[in-house]
Amino acid sequence: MAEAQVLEIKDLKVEFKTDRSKILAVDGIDLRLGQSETLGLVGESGCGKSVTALSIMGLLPSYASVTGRINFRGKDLLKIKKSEMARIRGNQISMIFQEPMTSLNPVFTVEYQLAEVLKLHRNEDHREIRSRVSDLLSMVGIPNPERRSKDYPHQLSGGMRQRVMIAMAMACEPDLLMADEPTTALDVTIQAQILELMKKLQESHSTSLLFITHDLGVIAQIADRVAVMYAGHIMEYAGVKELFGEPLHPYTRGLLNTIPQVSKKQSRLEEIKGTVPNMSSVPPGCRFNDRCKERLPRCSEEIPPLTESGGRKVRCWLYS
Amino acid sequence: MKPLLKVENLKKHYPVKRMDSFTKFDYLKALDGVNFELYEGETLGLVGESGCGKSTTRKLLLYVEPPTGGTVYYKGKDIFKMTSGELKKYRRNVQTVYQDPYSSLNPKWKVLRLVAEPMIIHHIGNRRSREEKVKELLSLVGMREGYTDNFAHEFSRGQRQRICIARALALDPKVIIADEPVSALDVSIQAQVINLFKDLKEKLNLTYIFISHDLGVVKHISDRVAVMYLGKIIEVAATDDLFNNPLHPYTRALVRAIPVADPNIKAAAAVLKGEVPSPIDPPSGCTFHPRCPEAMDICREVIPEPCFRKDGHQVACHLYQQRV
Repeated sequence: MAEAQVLEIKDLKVEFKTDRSKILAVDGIDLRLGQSETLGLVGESGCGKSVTALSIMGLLPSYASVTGRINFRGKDLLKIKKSEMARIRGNQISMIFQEPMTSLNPVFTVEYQLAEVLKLHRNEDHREIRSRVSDLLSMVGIPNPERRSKDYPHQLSGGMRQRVMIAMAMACEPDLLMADEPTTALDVTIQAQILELMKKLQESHSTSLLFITHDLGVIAQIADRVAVMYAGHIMEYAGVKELFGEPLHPYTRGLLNTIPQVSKKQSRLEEIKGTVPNMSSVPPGCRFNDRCKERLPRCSEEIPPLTESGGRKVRCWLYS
Repeated sequence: MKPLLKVENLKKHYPVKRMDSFTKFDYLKALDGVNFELYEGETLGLVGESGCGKSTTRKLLLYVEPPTGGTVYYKGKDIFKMTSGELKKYRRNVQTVYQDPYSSLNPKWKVLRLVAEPMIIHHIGNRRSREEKVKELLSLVGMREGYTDNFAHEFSRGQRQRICIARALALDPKVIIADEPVSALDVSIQAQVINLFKDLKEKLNLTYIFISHDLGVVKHISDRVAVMYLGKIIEVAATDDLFNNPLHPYTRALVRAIPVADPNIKAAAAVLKGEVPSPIDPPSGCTFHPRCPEAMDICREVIPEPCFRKDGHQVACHLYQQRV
């Protein structure tokens, strides 16, 4: 890939210090994201996918220590000043969260909250901002934007609120948009609408998208490349067609077989035994070894490296 | 075969305060004429988007709330006319598992008490026999022994849901109503719990009503599926029949909207425009007509009656009125 990367993460580690212990939520991950590319980040709860996104935004609490490099357009986001980060955040990098009701302020109108982004990052006068707001709302498919912009969040449905969040995130035409489970709280028919909208906007604005979800169906539809995370490690990293066509890591294979699918006939669902490990006491060796069906003796002793072959990466002793 | 549960024209309208008046109310029609039958030994899946009345159905089936109209017959007896003694007996036979295993377990109680509580309420056995039964139930749901003295917070989500299932089984019920029992679980845990539900059904000869918004899950576990939209059941059919040959335009859109975990299958363009209308002021005629890609004039005016086909496929849509 010769083209410039929008985002390049190298050996990112995020550690939370609590009174009793240290929790390594993200343990040395590398990611790259090119222009107008969509990278899917999949994993179960507690695997570190949201922490990764928050560390890019610089929104982690002060007791988290972040090390490694997050290069965004050639700048290391972990080294720049807070004021500079504040100029980038919401402007060049923005984020959509899962629950739109908790991300919107209940006491301000949609217009006020959308205008805030524009006031902060663009020097425009009142009238320009007002017309931009209704442009943005109609861009995300909200009917009657002039009237709806005077509404408060509670007057909108879940799907509409998520549209407002997308409008807010796209307001400054960011280079990088991160979406953390943006459709998980929505019904399937609304989810289909929102995914379609995000794809359309991404194409027209050539934004890079980091899409976080636990839903493999959604990932298959939206991502170009996929990173599968488990307990703070990247287990597999591949193009979407390769990953779904021939999943290599036993965890990825397990995940794909474990979901009940409408299009497949399954008499019994395959199980992944056990539970997701607690991050304060991860098993030694490969993090997945105690749940893995194909484990080898060395799996519980050494952490397998993330080896690359044929443009895809996998962290498993079976392949190295 | 006689149905175990027969739901007839069940209605629940909740009064909602109006902004312009202190004395007048609007009515939110959570359920507006629901009919279905549940046969012994089957799993009936109940699907629909949020606000379509799935959980209200559950509440009325247990008589937690009184209905606005209609009846539920359990083995031919109207549950809303039962005496309190009969009702208690009925509830022994119909138990529930809820979505959130955090809020449905008392944090101050140990597992022993949590699972034994239904037996205490129904005066079954003595302390020792109850403890035996609890241990038996816990091993039945796949929990390792020796957990009876732990609190709920010491368990993972999946294990907590197993405790909830053990509690629901404590009274040897015939019917279990599971309301989104796997929605709060991670995918790898979800499969474990779904398989557990299937195993228990075979072992204990249970009958399920399985409520979920996830069509994949419902397809996997159900024998028959009922699709709800705005307080009505619009289509009922055997599972394979429903997914292979959905008749109602809403069911068709719903089945097509599920993202397939295969990047080679392109997602269908979002078929349904707009959102579910408010149940306070539902559209006239067929409530689905404003979003329906095949709406006709008649749909705006006349409420479609459910029509039955020979194979038991039931659909409430004007498209099929003449052809049946």
